Amino acid sequence: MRIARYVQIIFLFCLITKIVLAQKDVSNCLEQSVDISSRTYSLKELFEEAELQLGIKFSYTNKLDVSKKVSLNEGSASLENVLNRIIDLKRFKYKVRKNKILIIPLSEKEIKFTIKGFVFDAQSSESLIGAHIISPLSMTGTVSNSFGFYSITLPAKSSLLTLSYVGYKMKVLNLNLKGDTTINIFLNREEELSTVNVLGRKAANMNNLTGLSTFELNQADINKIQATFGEADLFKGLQLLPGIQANTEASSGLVVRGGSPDQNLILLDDVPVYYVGHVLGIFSIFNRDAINKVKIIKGGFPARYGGRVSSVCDIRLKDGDAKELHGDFSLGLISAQFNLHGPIKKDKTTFHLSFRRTYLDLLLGPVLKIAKVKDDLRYFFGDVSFKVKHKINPRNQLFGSIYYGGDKLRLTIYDDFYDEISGKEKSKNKFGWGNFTSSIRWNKIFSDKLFANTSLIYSKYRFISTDEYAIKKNSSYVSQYRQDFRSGITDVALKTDLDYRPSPYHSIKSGAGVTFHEFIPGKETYVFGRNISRNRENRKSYESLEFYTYVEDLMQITKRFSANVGLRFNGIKSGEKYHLSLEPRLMTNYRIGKDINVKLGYSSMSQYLHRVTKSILTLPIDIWLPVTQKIKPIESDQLVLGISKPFQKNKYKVSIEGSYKITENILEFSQNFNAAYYNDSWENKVTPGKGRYSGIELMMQKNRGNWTGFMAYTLSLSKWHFVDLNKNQKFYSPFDRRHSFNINLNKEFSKKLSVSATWIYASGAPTTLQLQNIQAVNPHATSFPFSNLIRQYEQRNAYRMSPYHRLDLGIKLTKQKKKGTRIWEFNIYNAYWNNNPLYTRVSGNSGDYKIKQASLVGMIPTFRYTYKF
Amino acid sequence: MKLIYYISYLSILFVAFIACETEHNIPKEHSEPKLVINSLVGVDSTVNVNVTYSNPLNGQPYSGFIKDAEVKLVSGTSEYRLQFNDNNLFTTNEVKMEGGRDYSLIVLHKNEQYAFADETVPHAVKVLEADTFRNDGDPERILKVKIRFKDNAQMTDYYILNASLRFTYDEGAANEYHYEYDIQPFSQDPVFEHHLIESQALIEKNLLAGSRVFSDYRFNGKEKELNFYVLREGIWTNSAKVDLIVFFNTISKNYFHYERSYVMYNNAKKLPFYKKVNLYSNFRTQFGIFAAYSANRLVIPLKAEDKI
Repeated sequence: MRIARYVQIIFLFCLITKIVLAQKDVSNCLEQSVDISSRTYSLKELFEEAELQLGIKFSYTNKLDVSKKVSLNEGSASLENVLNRIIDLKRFKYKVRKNKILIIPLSEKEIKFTIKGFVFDAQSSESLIGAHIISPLSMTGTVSNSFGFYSITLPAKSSLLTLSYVGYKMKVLNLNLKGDTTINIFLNREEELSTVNVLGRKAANMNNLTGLSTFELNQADINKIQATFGEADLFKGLQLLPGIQANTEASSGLVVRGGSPDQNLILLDDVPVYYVGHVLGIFSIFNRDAINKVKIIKGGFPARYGGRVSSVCDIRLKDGDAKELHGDFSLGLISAQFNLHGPIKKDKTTFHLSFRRTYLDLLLGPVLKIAKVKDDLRYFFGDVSFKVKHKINPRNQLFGSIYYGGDKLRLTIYDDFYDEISGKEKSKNKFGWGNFTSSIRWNKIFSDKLFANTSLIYSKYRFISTDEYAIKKNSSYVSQYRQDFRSGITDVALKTDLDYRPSPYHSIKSGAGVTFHEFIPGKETYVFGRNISRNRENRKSYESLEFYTYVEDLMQITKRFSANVGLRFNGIKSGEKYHLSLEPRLMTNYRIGKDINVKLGYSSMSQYLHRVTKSILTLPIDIWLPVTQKIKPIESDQLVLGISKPFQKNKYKVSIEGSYKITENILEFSQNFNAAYYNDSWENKVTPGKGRYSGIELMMQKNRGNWTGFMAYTLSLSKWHFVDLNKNQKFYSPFDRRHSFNINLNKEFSKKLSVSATWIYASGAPTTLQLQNIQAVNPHATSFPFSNLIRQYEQRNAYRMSPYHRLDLGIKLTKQKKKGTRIWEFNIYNAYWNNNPLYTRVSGNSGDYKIKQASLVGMIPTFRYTYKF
Repeated sequence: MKLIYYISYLSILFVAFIACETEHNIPKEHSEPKLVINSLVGVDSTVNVNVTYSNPLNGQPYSGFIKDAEVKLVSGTSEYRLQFNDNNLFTTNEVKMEGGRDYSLIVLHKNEQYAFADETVPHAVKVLEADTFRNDGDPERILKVKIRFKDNAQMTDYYILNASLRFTYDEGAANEYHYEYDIQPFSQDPVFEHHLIESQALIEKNLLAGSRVFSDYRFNGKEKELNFYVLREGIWTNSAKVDLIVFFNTISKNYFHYERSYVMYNNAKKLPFYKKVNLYSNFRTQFGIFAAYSANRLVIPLKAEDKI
């Protein structure tokens, strides 16, 4: 595999070299050096000096002002370098003819100017990410970046520029270009979903590359996500897309093309988030009302993304309305939300504040009291996010964002201490887990073609548990012991990304970054009676330094053929060991006929973090650890081939993609990890393996009209192979689903009433069943040595649970009120109450054993009331 | 009104999160019974081997011990054939296990099923002191025990700590009888890696909670004082002589693996979300364990103040 990778790198290098060389004819004459003394020259003097030194002749147009003075630094420079500095290349060009250099004016067609600026929502001034900016005449186009910035270089003769964004009215600008200019574009929302300019897209072939194994969800799409348990969850919406599945029933974990949930890079305003679920993963931590745009990439990864091997989910929070104060609040079955956003200083500084909290704990307490239950159970989760955007000047912007969210569970049990006379005992357990992320980002427009973003990031994930036991003496409880446990990750990162658009045919992105990780697998403290016992060895933290640099060029090679060629260099220093990897990335798009796009993508990815888990769920107790001397990074190679075609001016769209992925060095606990010492290096407890995934994904969308929706089908196979597990035989990965079919329909009857329905189907998940009873000896017994019968398995994941399917229905009632909008949402989750399997167990007596499939939820009717102002 | 609201709310949540179970038949795929061999052998003891078949849940249940298996114990050039006895065990009086020696156990049944495992018998260690004690400030409900012993420097040793209480009722010289039951030892000693602390955590962060084995990697070759405690609530009688029996055995690495997998199996089966665990087996193609130990049975008579 390594050899194959080097061959691929060499191939890419040759391809890039060929492309570069093909575009530039470097003449020997231009490579000759000219010695310049430090002073101010007129152009004429400089030409004469060069003629004298190099024995060449200059011939120039009379439109060139040769009396123009230029200042050059002393030293030696190539003639080409000198000419590039002294001649206005936007109006003149030079050619080499044997020993003569001709300087001639550019033709009208050749004169080009750069337009740059930001694309905003006209009402709120929120940045629009991924807006299409297209010049139909010159057949070129671009897309606004993650901050809404765009830059496009056009021939001076270009008279039209079209701007489009899904859900917004298309805007056409009449241009009369005299030079480089800045145009900030404000787009108006429209009632019906707009079609992105098909003609323009066809012309701007480069833009089509953004669609390879990628889905983008804007505000309108996010608002359509149906609620589960009263919460419209972003990740539940993403799980409907082809190639993406839920980990388990009701789970927010994403399984992308057979990869485990930890293989997804979840970015919240550029900050990686490690644990993304509340209530053991049932809800994702992202508040839908605070999100501006989401992009999920499953394959064909641009070089700017790295660090995980399965997917990238890039979530951008709203900046806040730049003109007026707005907000909303909503009440659901288990939580309340509140959003407030607006200008701090009009058109200069904005903020967005978002808050969500469940009230389960507030309600459970009184209920337990009424029921006269002496024990106490409290649980809640909450999130708060705050973002500030400050426009320093037209070329500089600052963003600051903070997110804090977590879950807290407390259980206190009161009991008699082995007999009622002797006294009472109390045990108290507390669990808490959550993320804190913060970032400061600085946008700078260095020139019309160069945009930079620099981010300083601090993030923290923690899991904390406390277990306390006390005995009642007289009237108060005296603690007998207390155990505290904590684990987590802390990251500090600095990164810079450059976005350079030198010509209409190239969009070059490059950047570099460094992240310091501190991992605490487990830190424990015991207080026993009056003594404190610290587990010193186990307090050890792992520290590592991860770094990367990348470059990618999104280029339009011909009118029909475009490519994004990139290279990423990753590395990590863990202890004294360095792990380095070079990752080539390639995406190509070839247009056949009017609008059939054939896409091919290859990505090589590395992941330096492993999450080891003992359960089938995504739990906060799972630990994240870095690669070490012994444990290698996860590496994956993925090949994607896709074809897409829009119909009726993008009203309908059909796409089909096939993908093949090999993942190496995935980790499972070894067969005998129990025998490793607790304080042993964790690398002795795990064993590496290999995963293979192949799949075909079909997506059919209807984007406009009263009825909208999509249908997604995935046929896939995912297998694992571990030398040390399952007797060295391959077995189905826990994420293998042969068929997956989702259909979503939305009908807007009027502005006041809309309904939606989603049907989800997935083949049964593999499961391990212990189907052999054995008599085993009890190693603890001092007298009778045999235990009860013990169940053993022969093969991992050899059986399938029942298929998963459910129907979700939703109705949305919207009413305009005097000072805002009132929305009632009613949803039914799992409308026909299918008992979808979560896990299996075997039970029964001799001769009458059954497999019991447990389901988490039945049908759930929920509601949510929202008021927007 | 409040009550109605709360009840309605909880009813919705109950409907939402009620866990349902549906029943399905065991898959029809044929699953062959396998040999299950159990043999925990002690130094200076006779070898006892229990041989049964596993019962595939979808097949004919097999009950009883296998009597007609061919069971052999091999050590160096010596080979001993074990005979089935009245206790349903294969055994031999020809040999007793010796510390430091390697043994192989071979089981063959009807020329179809074959199992083979190797084992090295551990040496005993000398226990220098064993006693109960209580310090000022100790919680009322505990009785502390200390064992001082000298670890063997020449080899990696593994230990297991088991305990029981023995009650002796003396109703005249001719009428003395004993009653003994196993009890759970608890310990904060780092050698147990916090598996033996009292913990009532809802989600077990450590599937090895309750494991009583440890290795000498922290004190290899040195004299070690091991502290643990038992709960006094079990020691409730004044009408009997009570002895705390401590089984402080040196065990082999196979025994160590087996005990930990046994603990993990029992912890994981309470947690349906956890991945399934199999017992450790040194019979590569079959189930079961052939593991050795060297026993140290320490009898500590309890004093009046030790009882609660």
